[in-house]
Amino acid sequence: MFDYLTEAITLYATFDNFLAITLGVFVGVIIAAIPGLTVTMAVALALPFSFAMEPVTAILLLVGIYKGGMYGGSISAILINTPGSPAAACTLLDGYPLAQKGQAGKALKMALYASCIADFISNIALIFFSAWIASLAVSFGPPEFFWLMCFSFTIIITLAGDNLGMGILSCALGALVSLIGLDSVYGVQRFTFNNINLMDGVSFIPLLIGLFALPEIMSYYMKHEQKKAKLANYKSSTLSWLEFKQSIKSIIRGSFIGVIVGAIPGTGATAASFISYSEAKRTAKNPERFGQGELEGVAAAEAGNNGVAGATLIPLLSLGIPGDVVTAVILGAFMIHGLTPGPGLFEDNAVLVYALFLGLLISSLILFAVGSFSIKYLSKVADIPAKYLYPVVLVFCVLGTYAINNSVFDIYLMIIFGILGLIMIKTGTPVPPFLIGFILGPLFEDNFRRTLLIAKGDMSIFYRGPISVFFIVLSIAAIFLFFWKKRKTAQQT
Amino acid sequence: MGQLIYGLISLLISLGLLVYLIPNSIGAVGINQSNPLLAPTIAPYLFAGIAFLASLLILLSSFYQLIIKKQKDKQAVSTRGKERDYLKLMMAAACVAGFVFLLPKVGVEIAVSLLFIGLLATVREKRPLVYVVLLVVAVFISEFFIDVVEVPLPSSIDRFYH
Repeated sequence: MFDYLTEAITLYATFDNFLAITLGVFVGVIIAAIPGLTVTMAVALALPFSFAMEPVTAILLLVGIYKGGMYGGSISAILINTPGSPAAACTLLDGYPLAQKGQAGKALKMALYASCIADFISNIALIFFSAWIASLAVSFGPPEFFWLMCFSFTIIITLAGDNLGMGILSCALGALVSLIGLDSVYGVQRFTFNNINLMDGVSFIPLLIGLFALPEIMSYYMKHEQKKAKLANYKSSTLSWLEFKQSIKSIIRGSFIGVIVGAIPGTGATAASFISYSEAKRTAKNPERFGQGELEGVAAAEAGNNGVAGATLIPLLSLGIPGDVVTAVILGAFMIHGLTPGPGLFEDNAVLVYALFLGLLISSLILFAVGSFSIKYLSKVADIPAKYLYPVVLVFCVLGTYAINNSVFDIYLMIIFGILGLIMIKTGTPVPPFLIGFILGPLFEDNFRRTLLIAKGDMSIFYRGPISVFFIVLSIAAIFLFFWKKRKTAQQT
Repeated sequence: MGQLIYGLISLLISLGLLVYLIPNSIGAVGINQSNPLLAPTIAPYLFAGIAFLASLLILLSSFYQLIIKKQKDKQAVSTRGKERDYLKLMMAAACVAGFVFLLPKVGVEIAVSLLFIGLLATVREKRPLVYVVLLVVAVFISEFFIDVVEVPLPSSIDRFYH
């Protein structure tokens, strides 16, 4: 353990790593502060640049963007009443009223402090739980991994939207696209139509940029120009120790809510921030103040959504399951660098994992530093009109995609997936299951085949082990929960 | 109604996959005739089958919404506004197509600059200063990709000097 730590410090303590995580946090905060640009878009666009980097540096850059983005969304929520990210939707409930009262600086500082504390707690949880879960998962064989994949599919599908059919269709289509290329066992061509560009399968980056960045740009050009809410004046107001102390309980509680919610694949930061906010409101002495400009409301919402950031990496690092779209991209980055998250990662690349943990812990401090120094200037960034930003983003999409293989074919692929993404958005089909299907599809097939090879075709191997049964029960429970929730919502309306 | 059409289209696509595309676009492996579960077609059939069932589910749920619940007709939306929206999107798409076409011919700096001009014109930007600033940004981004990321893109500046 100590040897690993020393090696990890040596691996982490390089200028490149510090630069990557600082740049990542900074870019994440800026992108998320601008309404219309999303963290997923930023991570997708940063992925091509991470190719030439060392694995730790590349992953720290992406994680930095993710963490910066979690906080950055609150800036536009507080200043212009428009959440920069869906998770910041809860922050505006009290953040914007505070800004209207001339306390924007106070609200932003509270959001920053709550975000940093929650992020740190989330990182600690990640360090403790991921290694522990990974040690349990060491005993997993192909049947257990097969059911783990099924469980991941179920969770993503049931949590992605109200329509189960749409979620299943999206996931199945993603898995089908992942099968394009040469079969990994027999080397026969699947859906390649003798096109040499498809022999290695569909590249991850064009698919990612196409699905998550292009549709947003296309949607913008389809929309009428909307009037933005007036930018609230940023006045540097000091957050007193007493005000911070009054919210500390909500921050800690929100952080733990974020950790628990984040550790469940597919749930996401938005749910965590709303649960944290409603808990803070329920236990507050003056709940009627919530929604009118209550600092504790901002603290609870931000603690909830930032508590998720580190925790979503728990299933990713320990089991190889992405908790949300951004962690799915990070999983892609691991794979691009020849690493497979899961219990094997802790055994084969323990030093890298520890270096990553170190980087994550330091990222909370960097978030604090970047946030503290840039609050004043970021308020100006949030006001840049989208019409000037989207052309720049579009160029990054096209050139970033081209940069992977220096191939124009990848640009065409990106455009195809962009159109598909737009169709999916317009028809209400959830996009995350498509990405998860694309990433986990080959693993699903691989574990299915390996299981059958071990059992020599005996299908009973799939439900013999207790862990397999555990995942089957969890998957069924997730489906039941989906229908129960749907019925409850229908009864309420 | 939109969901019904979507369900129908996805049903047809998955049916096309099951009936035509999978049998015809995946090579056969003779050694797996004894154990078809290991064949390279099993996963495509499985996922296409799931997509087919999901499409059926979408169709059924949209029928349920249409017939049993009898959704209220949505208010008529002004088609004039919609046409203009699609026109803007088409103009932006034409700019991107032009960019991809011109990139190898005129070099990245000029191609990006023309793309920016096209996209700004699409949103009816009238201030010359914005065009000037974005042209500077265009050159900056191009040089970033060529010199920092070291992407072998054709450079307009190099072409000019050579």
